[in-house]
Amino acid sequence: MIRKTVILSVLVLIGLLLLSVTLLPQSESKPYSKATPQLTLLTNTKQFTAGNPINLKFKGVKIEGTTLLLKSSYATLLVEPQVKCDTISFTTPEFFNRKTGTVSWSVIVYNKPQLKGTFEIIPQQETARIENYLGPRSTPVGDGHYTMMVAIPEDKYGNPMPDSTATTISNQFLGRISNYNLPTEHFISWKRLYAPEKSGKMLTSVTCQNAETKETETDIFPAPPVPFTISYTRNHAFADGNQLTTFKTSTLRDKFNNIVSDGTMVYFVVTTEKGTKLKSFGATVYGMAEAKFPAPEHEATYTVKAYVTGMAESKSISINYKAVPAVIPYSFDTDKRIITVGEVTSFMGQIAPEGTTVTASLYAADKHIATLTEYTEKGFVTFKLPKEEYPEKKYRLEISAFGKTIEGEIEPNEGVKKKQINVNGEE
Amino acid sequence: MGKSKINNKNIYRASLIITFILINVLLLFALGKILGYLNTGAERTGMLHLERETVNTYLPKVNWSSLENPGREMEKQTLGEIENDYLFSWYVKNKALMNNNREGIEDFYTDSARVNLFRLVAHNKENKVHIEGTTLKHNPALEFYSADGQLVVFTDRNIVEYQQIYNDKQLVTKVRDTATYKVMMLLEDGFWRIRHMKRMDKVALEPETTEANPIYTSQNNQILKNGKKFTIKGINYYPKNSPWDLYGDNFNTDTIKADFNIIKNAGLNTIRIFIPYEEFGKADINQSKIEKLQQVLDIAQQKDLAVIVTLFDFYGDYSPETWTLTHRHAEKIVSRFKDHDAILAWDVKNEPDLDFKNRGEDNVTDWLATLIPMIKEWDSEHLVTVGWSNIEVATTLQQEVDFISYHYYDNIDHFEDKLKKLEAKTSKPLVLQEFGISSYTGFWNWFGSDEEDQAEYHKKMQAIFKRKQLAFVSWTLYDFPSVPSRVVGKKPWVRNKQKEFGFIDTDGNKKPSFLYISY
Repeated sequence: MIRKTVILSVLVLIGLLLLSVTLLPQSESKPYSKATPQLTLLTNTKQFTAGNPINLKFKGVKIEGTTLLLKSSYATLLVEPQVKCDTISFTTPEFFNRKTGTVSWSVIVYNKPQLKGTFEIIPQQETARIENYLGPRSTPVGDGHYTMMVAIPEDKYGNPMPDSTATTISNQFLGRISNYNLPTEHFISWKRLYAPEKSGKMLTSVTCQNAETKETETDIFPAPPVPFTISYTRNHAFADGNQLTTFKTSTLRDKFNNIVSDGTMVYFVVTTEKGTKLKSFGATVYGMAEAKFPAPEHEATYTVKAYVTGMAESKSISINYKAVPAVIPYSFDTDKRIITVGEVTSFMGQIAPEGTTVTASLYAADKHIATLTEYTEKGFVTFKLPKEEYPEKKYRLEISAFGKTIEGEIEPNEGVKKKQINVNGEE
Repeated sequence: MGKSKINNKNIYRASLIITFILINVLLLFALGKILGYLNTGAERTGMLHLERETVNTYLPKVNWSSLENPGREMEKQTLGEIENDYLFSWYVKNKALMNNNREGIEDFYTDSARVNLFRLVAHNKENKVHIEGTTLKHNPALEFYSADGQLVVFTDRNIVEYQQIYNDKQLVTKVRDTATYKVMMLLEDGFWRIRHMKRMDKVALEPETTEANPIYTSQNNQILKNGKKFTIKGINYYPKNSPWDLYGDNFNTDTIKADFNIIKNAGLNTIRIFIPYEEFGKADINQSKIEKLQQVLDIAQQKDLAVIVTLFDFYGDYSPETWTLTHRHAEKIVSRFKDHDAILAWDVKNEPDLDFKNRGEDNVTDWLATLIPMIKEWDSEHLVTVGWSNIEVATTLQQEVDFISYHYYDNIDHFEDKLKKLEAKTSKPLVLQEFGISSYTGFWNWFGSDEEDQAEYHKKMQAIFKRKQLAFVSWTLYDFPSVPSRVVGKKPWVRNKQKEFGFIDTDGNKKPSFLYISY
């Protein structure tokens, strides 16, 4: 039993010896690992102003591997110590001192935090500038529409000022200036600026202590237009297919009596008796828009209505076009087989406008053979009837222009030779 | 003479042709390079900012508490964009501190905010300091959203941040701290960017109270089931034909039912199964796999077997940068099964101590220490443990776990002594979660133990368990026809040994050891 214990204790001793030998190099590199260094914080300041140097002093003996870990709003970094007699001090880098927020520090000795604490970096007293955001930058008038000003007063390092910093948001509209005193909260002060019932420009600015912003502008746009009326002007009432009729809106206004913005598109839609739709459009200038339509080529009644798509429309108006008392003489050259129509004249006996439509319908033994269309040139049109296409000896003829039709007969092989026939068929 | 002339001519010809071909090849190569260079530049996805996803990099928990604010109602879409870009701001900051470069900072910090980071990066670079870190948890509360939708202020309360600070590539220290940040962001050309950021003291958050009604609890050194002492008598389980691949193509509920019957009839009450991390889809859980897990747990409940679910099998990264992905993985699995009555415990990681050397002990233990409280938060119904590979390290993180799990493959004669030492160091319940011996004798192992030796081993072990009323989970039910190389490597002497740890051989016959599967 005794022998056993002796052997055992010898073994234990050898073991311990071996252990101490293996541990030796490690303990050399960490000579103070067992003794916790006694450090006490000497710096009592818990608050530093942004931009001022920060120095943390500790009473205690410096140990190799001592470093200060700092965590702030943006930064995580290490600071190496400076030693003076029995004090150790850490000076933070200049850029670190600029940004506000709570800073956690811990003194690290051999990978373990030995002493921990926090301090705060607060903004400078003076507001150096005001960051401000206005939006939306345009809004319609009235109806609870608004724009919003958000202001962030900052010190010279761009740190937001503390909560409850007094700011003034001012705005001006048509001789009325309003000031709102607002304390900041969560970095910002803000104000809803409601749109007035008049359109125009609203100016907004912010002041805080000795700092002020430039003015910012909000466009107050008119609201959508309310229903309006249209009118027309024209030179005469004849359906000559030539003159233009001008349609014009009344001044388009919104419900607050503001003239709508220039460039508001107005669509004019004409409905003919047959139901055909014709469309034209114009943009407003000073609230008024106009569009032009050419007169029809025959007697007609137009119904006209104007729209601002999706917003407003006018009442419809109707407009009559009178028939032109036209003269349509024609002749037929039997040899050359050419019908010459002309000189077609309009309502004053003047030559019909260039391009007036003339149609000639040909019938043989009451059977419709063809309808030919030509446009006048200096009052005349010609229709050629080649023998190969028109072999019949006799055709009945209907010639129309300006909505008026005359009838006649031609006999291509002998027929009339340059025979003048007037409007009423009289020779 | 004449002949040599001809030969010379041929040589000239050949060399000319070869030079010609070579020049052509070089020309084509150069042209290709030039065209390739001209094709680089702005991608369309770059213009649309489509690449801004953090799915495979960084997924901390974000919990918006309140969207009430006096400015403007917050849209769901915008909130998603703000959250995404805000997380990116942390991600690029962490990246910048790790690599000491400016990459990505410009995209997520405004002009005047980014200079603060640039100065820091320059300072740290000069001092050879780099920081590896991540944030784990964000609790933002919206304070203000401007009418034009371009400015937002929120308070991110109690951000949990983990950082490892290195000086000259040597770890100086690691910190895990909680702080509140007040943040203002601006929408600039499609990016929400940090404009102001202020660090503040942490605040008191109201804890979410959920009433827990756990079936399994731990008290002193005992595990209880419904308040009564429960001794785990268990076995590690893989089906015979799908070792390390429970949720693969061979998945068959009939096989599992039959196996669970064998286990139950053998007098056992617990099984231990594994969830492979990557196979389950990492942070983005594979639905078909989790459905299969659900079926396994349901069958276990039918057969009245308790289940220890081992998470993160084959995970081995541990670097703080990827932590948040593992958190989302665990959260999705744990919170889905938090009410499942079959589960006895979550075993966070199998044998993590084997990664100490390659991945750094700090990384591994900090990862576990961070994750365990999270799992307890997601699931207050089930116990949590870690399956240490040997008895000596078993007390690591003992304060965090509900019971201590360790594996024992050493000499059976030293078992009781080592156990005594362990018992002296802790007051928590102990579970021997893996032990066993291979019955492989053959070309790769002439002097190994045969089936009789294996039976003898289990007989001895069970005798100890019975005497001391110990909780055990043996390795494993079946011999396996094959063992995947990722489990134990490619060495045939190890692989072949690993095939025959079972109580039942590959033909389905009970080996002699089956008699001593339990006490």
